[in-house]
Amino acid sequence: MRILVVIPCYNEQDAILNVVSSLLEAKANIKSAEVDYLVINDYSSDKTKEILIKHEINHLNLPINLGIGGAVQSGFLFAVDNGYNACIQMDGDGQHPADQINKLIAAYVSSGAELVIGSRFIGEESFKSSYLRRIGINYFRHLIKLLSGIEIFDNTSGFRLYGRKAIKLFAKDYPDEYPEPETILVIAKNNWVIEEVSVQMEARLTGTSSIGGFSSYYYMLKVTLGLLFTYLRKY
Amino acid sequence: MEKIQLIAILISFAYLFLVCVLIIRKKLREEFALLWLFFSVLLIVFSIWRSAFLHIAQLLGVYDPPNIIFTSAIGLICFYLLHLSIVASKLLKENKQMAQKIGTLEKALNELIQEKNSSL
Repeated sequence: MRILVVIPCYNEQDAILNVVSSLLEAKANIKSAEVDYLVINDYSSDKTKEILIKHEINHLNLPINLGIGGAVQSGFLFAVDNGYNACIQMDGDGQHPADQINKLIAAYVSSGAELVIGSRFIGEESFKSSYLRRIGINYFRHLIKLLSGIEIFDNTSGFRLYGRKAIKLFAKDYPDEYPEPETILVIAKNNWVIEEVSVQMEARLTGTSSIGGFSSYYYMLKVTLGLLFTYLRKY
Repeated sequence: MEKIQLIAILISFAYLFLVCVLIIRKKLREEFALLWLFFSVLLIVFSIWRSAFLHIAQLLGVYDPPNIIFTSAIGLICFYLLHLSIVASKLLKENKQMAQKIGTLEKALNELIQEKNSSL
């Protein structure tokens, strides 16, 4: 079985080396699958590209800035073209723990799920997030449960594994912004299996969250409408 | 209710329906979709609650209420057109960048192929 770890990064010159080296370390301990990785450099304006070249990190440079959705989707396209069975999405800022990808892979192997979510909330030692963010996540949990009957606790986690069918679908069509909650509903509407496993996540090493302040209201509105329209679509 | 108001309400709902169908068929990019949804809801609100304009006109001290509609509509349209121009400019710039990138890649690829052929 071949699994591709897709690492989207935009201006991550300070974090990307650590992310890749911890992934290579973790990879050495995984026996159940052949794990490759691909960094997607989303037209960074800092030294990310030079660092990737200098350290011979397997990467792909996008000629324009596509945003997180488009960057991850490039990884899915590559995975489909090169016959990978599954994709793991891991952020380039060091927030997603590489040493936990074996948990995602183990859950995928045992359940055959098309989506395995690395969750911060099922386990006891979980990531502390802000009050507002907790409200948002709980709200999406209820909304997704209402629309699909499936309860997902950490629906905004971007640390996840997609199976072959899901990658093929998302390589064609993937949300541009804030894809996490919406993709759960897409998988559920296809009647594919979703697994949630507990992982420990660290606080981000550098940079800031893409969601905060005024944009959190836009985020809630955007994702709510996205979920409702996904519900109305035929799959 | 006057006939014209009924017609306005029907047209507003038809517009909302059209926007929803376009979103479901993924013909509209998400950010644009939000904006058009907002406008269609606004249309419905004002076609049902017609006196809203009178209140707003009074509040702002506008002598002739319909002027509010024309002024704000033209204002909004101007801003939206400006926004579309910005989007189009960005697309043109990115399109040029992609063409240049493809050109450079094709050149590099041709050189590689030639190198390989000549070494055979």
